Amino acid sequence: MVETSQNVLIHALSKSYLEGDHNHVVLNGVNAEFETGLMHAVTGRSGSGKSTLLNLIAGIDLPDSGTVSIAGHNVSGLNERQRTLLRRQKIGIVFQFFNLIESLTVAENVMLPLELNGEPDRTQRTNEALDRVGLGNLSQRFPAGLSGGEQQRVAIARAIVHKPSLILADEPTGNLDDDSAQQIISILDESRGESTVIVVTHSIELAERCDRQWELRSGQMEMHQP
Amino acid sequence: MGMKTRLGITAFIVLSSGVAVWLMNWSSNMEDAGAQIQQPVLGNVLLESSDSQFESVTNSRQLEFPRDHGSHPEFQTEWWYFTGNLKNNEGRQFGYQFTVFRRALSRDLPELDSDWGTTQAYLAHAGVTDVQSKRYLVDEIYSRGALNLAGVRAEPFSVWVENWRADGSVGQCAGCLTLSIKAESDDFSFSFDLDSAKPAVLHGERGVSRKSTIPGNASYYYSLSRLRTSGTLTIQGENITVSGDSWMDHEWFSSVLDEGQSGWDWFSLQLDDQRELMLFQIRNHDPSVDPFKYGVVIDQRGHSELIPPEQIALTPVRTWKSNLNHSEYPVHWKIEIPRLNINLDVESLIDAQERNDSFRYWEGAIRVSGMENNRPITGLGYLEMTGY
Amino acid sequence: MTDSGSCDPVKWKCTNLKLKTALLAWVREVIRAPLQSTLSVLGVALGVTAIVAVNITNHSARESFLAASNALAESATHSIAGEPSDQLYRELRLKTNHPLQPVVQGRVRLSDINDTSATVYGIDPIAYYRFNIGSNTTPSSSEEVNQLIAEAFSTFVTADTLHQLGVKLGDSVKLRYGRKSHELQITGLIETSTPLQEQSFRLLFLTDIATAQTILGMRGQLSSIQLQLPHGDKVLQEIEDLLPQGTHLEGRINRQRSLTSITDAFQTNLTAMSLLALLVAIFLIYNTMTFLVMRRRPTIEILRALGFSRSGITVCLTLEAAAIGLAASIIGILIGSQLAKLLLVLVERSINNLYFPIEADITILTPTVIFLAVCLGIGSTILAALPALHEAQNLMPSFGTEFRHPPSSARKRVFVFLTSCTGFVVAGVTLMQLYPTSIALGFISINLIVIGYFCLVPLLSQVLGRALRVASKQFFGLRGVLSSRALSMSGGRSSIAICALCVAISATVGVGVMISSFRTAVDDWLSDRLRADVYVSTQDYGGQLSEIEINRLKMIPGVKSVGVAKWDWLQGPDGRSRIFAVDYGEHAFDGYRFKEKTPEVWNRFQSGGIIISEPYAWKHKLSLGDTVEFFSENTVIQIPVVGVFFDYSSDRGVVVIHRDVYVSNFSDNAITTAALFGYPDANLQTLKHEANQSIISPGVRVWTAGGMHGAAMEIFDQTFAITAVLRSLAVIVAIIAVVSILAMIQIDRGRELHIQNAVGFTSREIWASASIEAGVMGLIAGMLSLPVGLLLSWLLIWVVNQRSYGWTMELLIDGTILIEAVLLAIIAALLAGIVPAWWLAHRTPKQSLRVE
Repeated sequence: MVETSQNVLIHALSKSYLEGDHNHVVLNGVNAEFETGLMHAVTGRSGSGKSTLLNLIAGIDLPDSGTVSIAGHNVSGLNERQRTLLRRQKIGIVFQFFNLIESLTVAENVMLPLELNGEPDRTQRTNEALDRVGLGNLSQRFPAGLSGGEQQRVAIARAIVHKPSLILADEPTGNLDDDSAQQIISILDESRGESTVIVVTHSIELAERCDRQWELRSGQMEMHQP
Repeated sequence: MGMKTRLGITAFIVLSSGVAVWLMNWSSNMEDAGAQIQQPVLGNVLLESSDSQFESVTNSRQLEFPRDHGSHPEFQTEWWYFTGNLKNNEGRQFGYQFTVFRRALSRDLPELDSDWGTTQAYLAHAGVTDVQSKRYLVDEIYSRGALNLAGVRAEPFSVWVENWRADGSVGQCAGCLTLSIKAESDDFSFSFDLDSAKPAVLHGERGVSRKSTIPGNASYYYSLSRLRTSGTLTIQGENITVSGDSWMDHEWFSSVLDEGQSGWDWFSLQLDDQRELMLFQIRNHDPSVDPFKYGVVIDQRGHSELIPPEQIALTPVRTWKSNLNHSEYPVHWKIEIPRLNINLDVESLIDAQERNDSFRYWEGAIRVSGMENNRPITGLGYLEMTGY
Repeated sequence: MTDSGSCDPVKWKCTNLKLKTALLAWVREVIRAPLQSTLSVLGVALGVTAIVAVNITNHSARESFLAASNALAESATHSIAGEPSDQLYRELRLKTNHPLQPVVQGRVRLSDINDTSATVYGIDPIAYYRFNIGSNTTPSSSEEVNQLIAEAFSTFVTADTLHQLGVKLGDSVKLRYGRKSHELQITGLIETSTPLQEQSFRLLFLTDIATAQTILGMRGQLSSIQLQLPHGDKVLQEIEDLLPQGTHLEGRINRQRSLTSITDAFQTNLTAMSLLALLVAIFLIYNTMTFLVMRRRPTIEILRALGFSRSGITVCLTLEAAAIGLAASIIGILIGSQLAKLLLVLVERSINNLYFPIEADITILTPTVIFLAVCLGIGSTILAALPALHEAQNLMPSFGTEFRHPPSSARKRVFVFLTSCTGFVVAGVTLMQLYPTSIALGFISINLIVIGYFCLVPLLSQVLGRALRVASKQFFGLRGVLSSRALSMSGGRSSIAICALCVAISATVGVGVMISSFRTAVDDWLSDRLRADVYVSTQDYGGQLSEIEINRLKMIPGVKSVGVAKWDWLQGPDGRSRIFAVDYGEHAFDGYRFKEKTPEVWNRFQSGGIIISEPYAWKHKLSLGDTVEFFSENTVIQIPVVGVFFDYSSDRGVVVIHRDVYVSNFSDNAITTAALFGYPDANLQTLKHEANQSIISPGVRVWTAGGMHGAAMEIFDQTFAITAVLRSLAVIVAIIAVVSILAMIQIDRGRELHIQNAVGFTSREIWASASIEAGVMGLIAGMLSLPVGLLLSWLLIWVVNQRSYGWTMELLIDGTILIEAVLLAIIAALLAGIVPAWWLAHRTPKQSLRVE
């Protein structure tokens, strides 16, 4: 009997890379369960495998062994197309750098996931998402005209607009000044509940705002109870 | 890649051990030169230039037959023209043309130790119109007047270019001829016997036919207006026995057209009541200048009567556009002769009867219908149009 | 496995492609970077241009050739020799319907000019018109030509002759034939359009046939009758039945054959050039599309992260490629048809100089060409975009920056290059071995081998680049490193640029070396073969030299000996063979270089063996010891092959037989050629002059060996001049290609250059650095193109020459060609580098740093 859960389940996850002749083990049998509706922080030193973990959860990369299970689906058991569709429908992604499409306006960037999923009321929902991150007034601007913090808020709006069950964020406050970082943290904070949020961060402040704190060390993951 | 070798190599064909046949093969180069010197001999120069060394047409000459059936080398240009409308026994209609043109290149025969020496160049035109299948077939041949390859003889009458020839003997009436005509081409050939039913008609003033108001621009011109014709016509392998009537013209001159004149429309009409009408007009480049006109009507017994020019009205009704160079030929005319109370419609049997070999002109069979004094008249004929 | 109701099921079906916004992004990116788009389109357009231009040129040249050959086909195909009479001409005119031309020709002396020998050539201008009817007739000066008939003793000469005689139009020239004198009045000019024509009309008086007969005392007699006969033995039989004793019909196939050969050669040549253009175009398109994918990379990655499918990316890129292809096709067709005009002028000029006048001003843009161009433009863009598409499909966003490149890729790439190289080469060599005689497959296998080599170019250029990096660091420090950095990066676009340049340069080297080898071979062959000092030969079919003339030649002071020979055709069971029955003495036999020979070949030759040329051996699959059969009267005569010699005179080959053997076997002792061997101190010009004076037969030409050698080499050089033009055109296309590739590389590197600028490199230094880089790329391309160029020339010589013509030659490597090639590559690359480098150096750093 496999436990069916909306939780994100990580089981015995391993991943290593060849670096020259040296086999570099990044994740070595990681186990974790990210509970639904909570905000999780993943911390660890540079090179500890945080980003690798996110890549595996998002289905961008495949593990050497072990499983990632999202909403009951074993990610590594899906084919490339299915993983793409899973990402499209169930996951919102916020990168460290402001991964907006330069040639689309703010509103168009945010609308993309809705259009990809063929959902109705796109303009309205886009405006709602932008209002939620406080950028309703900038919807017709192009990313190049926005500050770093504003761009990151647009990225978050895009990640939440289609109400995914999982939001993955990689160092969302890494490059931002304090004020901007505060805004980002608040928005992510508000998103929990409807989505599971997994944030990779160095920011102690952000980590402390989370429901769970996980730390990657030597290819293993430990949970620090708050 | 870059395999030009063949090109270079052909240059060395036969070079081996020092034979330069290929390199300097002048016979082949002669052909190249030929490309630059080849010219129509008569062609479009037929009507051009009056060389002062040739005689011009005056009234002094009295035409005599059979002498004047022959050649007149003291005049630069001369032609013997046969056209006719024929039918097979099923009533299928045909037209034919047979013409020999003579052109003097100079007046005097030079002293040469060669049988090739001549001053005369000849061109023969033959053509056949097959009305039913709308075919118009033509051919031409050239030759110089030497080695018996082309020439003219008055008595017994002969005019020929190679195998194309008209040979005859003097008939009963004045200027009458009994003839046989032969021409052979790849697509068609014919062999006809002709016998004149009426004496020769001398045009203009006793055979001097003026072509403009300028003196000297005239030709000696007579016609045999009806020659009973029978014989065999072969069109693309099909042999057809035919009979009908032909018309013969013989004309010679050194200069005919004025500078201002552009070409002519010439009608020979053979009416079913055994009369004939011959009409022509010479048009001017300037359309506002009235054409020079001439007309004659020949009765059943061969008596001819001139029609005053002002009594001739020739009006184009419909034109046909040649696809060769978009010339528009009037192929349907209205002819009015008030004095004779004659109104005629003259229309081509088929429209495409334009020759396009050495020189371009429309020469074709026509049908005639109309009224004379409120009585219907019909007939057949030939129309020649130049300068379009 | 269960599924709880609380779990949202993922819709695994992708109902439709959600492209609207993605396409919008795409279109905006295209619009935002007009320069890139322009360069992309230009890249493909160049390829299409080359194809279209060559295609049109090919087609139009063919049309012109056909037109020309049609006109010429209506000229003489046959000739009746043996002094036919006027009456025979008349009879033929009456009994057959074929165009005929009577010719009366003979040698006369010009009384006023030292009794110089000249030719009177009489024709019937009226027959001439009929003879050429159907070709373009220009009735402009008919009266003038008719003067030949109308005015006895009038003549036409060339302007050159007029000059030589020192007279002008309208003047008279005195000439003497035997004891009779005549005066010819020059009334017109013969227009010649080629130097060869000009030369053959020198001191030739074109007259009416009556005048010619009068002057030459040939009343009733003709020299020959030229005929235009359609194909078919029946026609020939009909004519032959009409011929009286003493006259005979001779075919004149040489001219027709040389025409088709010329056409073939041009076809082959131009097609080869178009293939070359295609190759360059594919490099360009590949490069362009790779570049595009790189530019689109951020967008693609984000779209993929958001769940945009691979097929969606494919559709976007394919549409873009198709749009580029379409735009490029249109531009390519427009420019190509213009370029074709230019090309055609060059082709026409060469042909006109050399052979016959053609009017090649018809550039025909057929629907086929347009269709081909559009197919090529769009189709090949998409095809060449496939690797880029593949790359794009594998693009994925990534969290973080660690381990972005799969570490195995470099090795994998090396593996791919090496295997494809091996594959191509093995396929090429196999094909060549399997079908040793096919010309087309020969070409294909050459191309396979060459493409195989080009697969190595990226690796080789990388190796060379690394070496250069080390060297330049040594000499120029970090600046040097910056200048050669692109080369040391694996599989980059720089190696594609190098490849493109390499293709063009190696073609230059290949064709250049092939031609120079060929030229040397022909030059040597001529020197070897032309052992006599002066040659006297008949130029007309059926013409021959009389015993009296040979004796006169022998009497010329300074002549040591006179060799005689006859050219003819011999019929055998396997068809006709060109035969050369020669007796030049043993000495002249030294001129033959043998590929294989029996011992004492000379003795065997003299006593009844034949020697055959290499192409003859190749075509008839003969070697030493085999016998060749010929018909003689009613018997078949077998003659053994005692030697195979190198020969470039004919691709059909030639059989050389000793004249004594020939005369005894075939009872024909006619002489068409005499070779005068002089004493060492003899003056060649005097010999030539004397020989000229000794000749009475019409249609005979006297050459010195040197003159003939010179004329032959001149023809050779003119022939290959066209190739040179086409070659430089390919190089120009390659330069433009390299410009666009380098421009892309530099634009791509904009940010890096501006960081350099920001750290204190001056614009000039950046410019210099970029130019040096371009130069270095040129150097590498030049060096890499040498081996493949030599390989190409070797293949051309051994495969194509052997297969097409059956002759072989040594590969002679001319150092200057190689050095020129490398210089050309460097100059091309420098030229190509200057524009983008200048453009870059003049952009402010602010502009590009802002992008990030």
